[in-house]
Amino acid sequence: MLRVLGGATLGAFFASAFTPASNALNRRLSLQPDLRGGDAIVVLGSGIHRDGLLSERSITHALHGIELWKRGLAPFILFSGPAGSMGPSEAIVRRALAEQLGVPPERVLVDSSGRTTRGEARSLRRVLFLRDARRVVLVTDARHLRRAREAFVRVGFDVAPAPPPDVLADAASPQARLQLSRRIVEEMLAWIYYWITGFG
Amino acid sequence: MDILLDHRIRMSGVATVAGLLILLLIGITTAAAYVVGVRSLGLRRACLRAALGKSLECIGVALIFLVVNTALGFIVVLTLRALAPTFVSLYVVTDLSLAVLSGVQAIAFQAWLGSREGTQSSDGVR
Repeated sequence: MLRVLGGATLGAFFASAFTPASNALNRRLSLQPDLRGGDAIVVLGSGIHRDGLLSERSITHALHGIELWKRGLAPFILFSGPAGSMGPSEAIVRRALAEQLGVPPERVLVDSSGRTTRGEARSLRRVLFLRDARRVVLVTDARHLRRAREAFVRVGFDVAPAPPPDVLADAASPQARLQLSRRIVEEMLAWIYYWITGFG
Repeated sequence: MDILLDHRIRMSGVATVAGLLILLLIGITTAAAYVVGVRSLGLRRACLRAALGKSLECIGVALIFLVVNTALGFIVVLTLRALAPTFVSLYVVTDLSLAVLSGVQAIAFQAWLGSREGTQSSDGVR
């Protein structure tokens, strides 16, 4: 039994690192963009360093949201993202970035309450339903989008997925493919957790 | 503002130089280790199959440790969220160090199991 388990684990490692299996699985799990527009562009939290510097993913997602706003997909953009243990919140830093890139301040909203995908969906429902914004263009990782869309739909939103370009989608080196596999496993664990505890 | 437009050439279906090089390196050093083992250290070829089986068992034990560590991590994080004022992300249980340390646990546990088998066979001889 242990040998079978070990053999399967080794096989999975080689398949993940040395074949395009993880790329193919990533394509199946990722949502394709739906850029028909909405009442608001929502950019979910993606991480901020303790010194207030946005993570690489956070910057990519913020820039993608800003680009979609400049294309006219929604009248305003909402940045989500909590504060770390010290320093400013991710949402506020992203707002500053948007304003530096020419988005008028009155077109930018922030919300720092949600710390999980479910938490963001519930918190943004309070913020956006007051403005009668029910159709959102949702910006987050392609892998995360499926679960995020489900969480937002469960609280009453109509969701148009808008993933930014996925730097891991074309992972070609073993290290990059293992990183992609790890992200896929993380998302699968998150799905199991939400399936057990509920999306609402 | 088109800085995020995707102009990359898709290469995910092509066997990469990096992957092939790594496999080549491992192949060379594995073959060298086999030659050194047989010629210099006097290891028996017949014992190699059993050794490979033990290695697979060790990997299986490492996976079990990883699953248990991850599940326990989930429980600890959710408990901390309920009791402590600071928020703890569930993503901490996907840290790479947990996988590495699970491997170390497996190696130690398998070595310990191996010592018991050695003790049992010497008891049997008596």
